Amino acid sequence: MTVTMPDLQCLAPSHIKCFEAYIPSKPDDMLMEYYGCSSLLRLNNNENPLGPPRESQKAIRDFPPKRASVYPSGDAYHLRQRLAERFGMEPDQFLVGNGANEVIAFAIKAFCQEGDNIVTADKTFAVYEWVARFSGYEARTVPLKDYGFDDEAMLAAADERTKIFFICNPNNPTGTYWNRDKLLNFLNQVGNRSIVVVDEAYCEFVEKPDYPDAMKLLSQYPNLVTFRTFSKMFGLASLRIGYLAGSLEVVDIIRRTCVVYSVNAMAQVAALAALESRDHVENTRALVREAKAYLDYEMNALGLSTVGGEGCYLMVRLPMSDSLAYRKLMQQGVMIRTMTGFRFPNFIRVSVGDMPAMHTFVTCLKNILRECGHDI
Amino acid sequence: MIATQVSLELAAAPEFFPVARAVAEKASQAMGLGTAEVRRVAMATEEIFMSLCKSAPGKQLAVRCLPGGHCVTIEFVFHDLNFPLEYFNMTSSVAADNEEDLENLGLLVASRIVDGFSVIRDDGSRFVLKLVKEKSYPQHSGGAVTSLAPLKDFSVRESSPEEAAYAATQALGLYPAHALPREFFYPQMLADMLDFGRVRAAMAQGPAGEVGGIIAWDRPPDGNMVECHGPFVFTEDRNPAIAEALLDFCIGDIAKLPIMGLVNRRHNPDIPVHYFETVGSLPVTSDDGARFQAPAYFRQMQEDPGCIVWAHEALEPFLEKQYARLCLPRKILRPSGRPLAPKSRSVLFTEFDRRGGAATFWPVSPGRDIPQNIAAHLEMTKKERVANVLFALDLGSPWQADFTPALLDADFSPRYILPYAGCGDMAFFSR
Ligand SMILES: Cc1ncc(COP(=O)(O)O)c(C=O)c1O
Repeated sequence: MTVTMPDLQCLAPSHIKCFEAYIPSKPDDMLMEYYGCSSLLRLNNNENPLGPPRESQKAIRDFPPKRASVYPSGDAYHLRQRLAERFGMEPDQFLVGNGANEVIAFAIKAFCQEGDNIVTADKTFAVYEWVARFSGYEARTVPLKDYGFDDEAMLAAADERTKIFFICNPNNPTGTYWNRDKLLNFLNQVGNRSIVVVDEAYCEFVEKPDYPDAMKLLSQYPNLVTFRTFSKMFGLASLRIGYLAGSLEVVDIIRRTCVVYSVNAMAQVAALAALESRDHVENTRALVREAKAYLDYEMNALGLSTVGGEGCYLMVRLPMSDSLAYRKLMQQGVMIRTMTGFRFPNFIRVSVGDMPAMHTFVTCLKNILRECGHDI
Repeated sequence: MIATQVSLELAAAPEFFPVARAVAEKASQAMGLGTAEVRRVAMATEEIFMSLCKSAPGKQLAVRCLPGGHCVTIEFVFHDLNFPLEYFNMTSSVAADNEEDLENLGLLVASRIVDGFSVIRDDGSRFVLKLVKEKSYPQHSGGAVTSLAPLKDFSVRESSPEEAAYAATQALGLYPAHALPREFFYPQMLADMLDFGRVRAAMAQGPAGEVGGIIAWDRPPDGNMVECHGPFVFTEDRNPAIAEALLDFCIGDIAKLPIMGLVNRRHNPDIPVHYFETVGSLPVTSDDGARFQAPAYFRQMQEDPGCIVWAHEALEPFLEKQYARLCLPRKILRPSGRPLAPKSRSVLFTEFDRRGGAATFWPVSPGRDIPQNIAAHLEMTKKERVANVLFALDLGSPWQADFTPALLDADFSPRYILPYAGCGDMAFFSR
């Protein structure tokens, strides 16, 4: 017997039918074949050019292959213990996920039901908006003000059905951040009406003294939840591991939506080892500081304006379509992120790599500007 | 606006003819068409239904009436794999030995009665034949419009239907007709389209509420492309910052949708061309007989992952040149060229834009008779006095490559490529 296709129009809810899947880029080998380049310099995903800390590299090398057949700790037990020691909190205040992306979904599932909404910015990391929308909840996206999250407009956009505010601090892609006063003021205004998520995926890159560490505010604001990831500073993007932290009570609610065993064992040991590293953060910061300053200088010398404060990335405004620049750079083996999808047409976002990578990027960009008739 | 559709499932049999007619008539009346338009919808429905009774007797079909703000769409939906595809050839001269064919003028007649006519194949087996009838609107009489003094400051926001209708009258006074979309000539139509959500618009506003410019864009319910009209700037200084801000707004509106590209096919000097790539241009004959080149501006909305295209060797030089010029990562493949069955007959859909004086042919299936079929279709558009005839080839479908030699022999030339506009890239030809 064969069964005919079910009536998908009837089976799928309307918020799914009107949502289109995100299509990730093709694998490097295929992209290289299409674009005819012999190497590919990825400056599109804000990865750490130094890779993982030495300690994590060792943990990965020492991982016994046979352990691949054994289920990992279902709730990243040892990692949570270590995070608790490190931040002076309880292990149960942490939830570890398959990347910070997964914990975004945990939080939204835990607090939203039909008719609820979340509030975030229009030009920020898109996953908060996506998860809300494909789960059937409204995502209210508030325009940025001077490239930063607009606290007043976010409060004005909220109503009694607003369950979560998402603040990306520092913001991807603009690099702006809320300082301590601004964050505290916002938290005070929200009071205990909603959950406030502060996504600190890039916090380890920030060196500004007035940058607030949300982890330290959790005891004062039990409705505050912070997200962290091992993908950026700790160079473990491919192992997929990130976490959230909050008050025991809030985390207890979120835990109910967790998929246990979603974090693999190698990721857990590599993350644990990353927390032991001593000089990795400092080395990465030094590299990013130098390379970003160089990049910014070169762009300005070309007459191109840049947007970028904190974080390991810089936005550049081009005198042409960003998607055309993408193709032309790809032909030369350099991959950047177009910003049209972030609602910044003609901007590209360049991940800060090591100096040779930055030299390559600048040379290739000059080539295409020249090709397009720009006087440089 | 109550956007409820009316649907009917029935068989193509003469006894159901009054049912189909009455439903189309009553529904289009309820959806706001005037008496004269309702009558024409009923007539067109009659033509199609009767011709279906002859060509596909007893086959199951659905008739759907959909409100569209400024128009009503009547759709005939066929799910049947065995549906006789030849039915869609809007010509009576193919296989003149087949008497039934000579009677198959229903589609052509229907197409003359309505404002828009198209057939789409939305998945392998489902065909949708669409008739669009518009409400009748007064054409704006034009009149003198003077440019505004430069604005000290401005902001861009979504425009309401009334504001857009007003801005359209400003654009009418300041721009040549070929730069404007048809709905700008009928401002009430534009307002209805906006109300319905079929079109969106943004405007630039000065400190005292002055309307400094407008951009409008279609929001198609499906499809990979969005077409924008404008930006149009109404200040004396034609401030490019206004044009860019309007275009930024439009791009921001569609940025998170699964749209592959934004096109603009009506040149005006305010368009910030550096936002676009010029993919080519089309020679166009306007109502008054004037001929001009209409450039096609394209902006890719996603990072191009690369794709394959299927092309006949005769099209390869054009494609290679275009792909190299536009830096599009493509692998050009040649179909194997297997001979088709001796009796296979090709099928083309004709999409009419009667008001725009244009017809576009879309291949539905290949056949041994492609050259004759193209000739017959050209004969038909000549008789119908269509000034602009286009041919759209989907380079994502290998079998469509078979149409290339006959197209070139019939004096069609490839004009431009729109990346990802169909299953793959679309190539547009004109004569
Ligand atoms: C702001 C922000 N949050 C979260 C994430 C997701 O990180 P992960 O790799 O841990 O899923 C990213 C990744 O780009 C990000 O930029």
